[in-house]
Amino acid sequence: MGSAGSPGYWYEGALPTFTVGSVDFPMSSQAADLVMKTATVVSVVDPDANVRRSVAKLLRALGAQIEEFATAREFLDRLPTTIPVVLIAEARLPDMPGLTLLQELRARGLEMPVILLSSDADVTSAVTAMRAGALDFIEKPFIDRALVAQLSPLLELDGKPAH
Amino acid sequence: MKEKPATVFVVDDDDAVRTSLRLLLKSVGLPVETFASAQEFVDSFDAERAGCLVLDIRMPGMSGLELQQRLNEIHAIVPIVFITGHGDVPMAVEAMQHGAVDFIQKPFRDQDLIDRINQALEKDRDNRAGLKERDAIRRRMQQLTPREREVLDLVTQGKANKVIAGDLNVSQRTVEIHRARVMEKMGASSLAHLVRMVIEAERAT
Repeated sequence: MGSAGSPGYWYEGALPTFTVGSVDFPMSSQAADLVMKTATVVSVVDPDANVRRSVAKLLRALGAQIEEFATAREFLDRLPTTIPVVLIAEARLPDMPGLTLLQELRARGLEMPVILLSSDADVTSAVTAMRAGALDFIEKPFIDRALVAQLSPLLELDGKPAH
Repeated sequence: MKEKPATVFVVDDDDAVRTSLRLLLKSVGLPVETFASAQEFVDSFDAERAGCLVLDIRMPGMSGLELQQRLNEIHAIVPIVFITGHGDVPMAVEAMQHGAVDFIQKPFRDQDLIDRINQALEKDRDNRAGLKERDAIRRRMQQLTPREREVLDLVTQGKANKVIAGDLNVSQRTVEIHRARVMEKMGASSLAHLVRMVIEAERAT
């Protein structure tokens, strides 16, 4: 447990730490801040800015932090620093099918719930996504109710509201 | 006691579908039983029987989804492959969320259905093997004396012998002896193996 540091610089109470070998080091306030924030980050990947905006609005109301991405590549590039508690992705992203993105996450050992959205889904692709472990497969444009139903318990489970 | 072979239970209100599925599945050597309604299936349901369920989603009376719900309520583990002539995405997603192994639309290729059924049967075999293993572990746990059971709980919490000795107010040597007996009775090859068995035994069925 780290104890060094000038008063006021560290968070009060239990200090967040990171471990190297057998030694725990206190984190910088910026790093701790990042960890706190990422605790309830929900990532939204959709090329349509309107969809991102409406999902973001909904999620903020639920107390989540939102990270928006237009493509799978942008999302994957950010992954090392921001691991969301839930991923919401369009099933037909311009650079990669949502299903492939889901499989990519699982291949990296990331088991967060994944919800796919689609405006022209067929039963076969929905079933394939569910078999691959998607939490839900929601048809646009009526996504709000279904998202709230899925996310409310998840966000309460995984973290406190961010605001 | 010889167990009955894994059976494909087909529930569909359409006579022609039942007949063609019966012939198809028989042709590949799979035992089949057919039912004209979900209720008929419920009435003769036996959780002990291995197999899988091929279930029409829309039927008069109890629908396929309702039957799935009924089976979930009684914690039945029979894997379900839904077939439907007119499914939509929400219906398919709901069926999958409630544990269906697959959901296929008519018309389908015979081979596709057979592949899915074989996957479902394999899943059923795995589930049943898992349950059997769990029962065996639980039986072994019941062979432990109360004191050994205490030691097992503390050991699997990751406590060292010295700490356990303090907790139970006995000598470290005594803990070692109990611990060795626990490992032997449980058939555990290592602490990790023992922990895995305890986790397995505590899983809800």
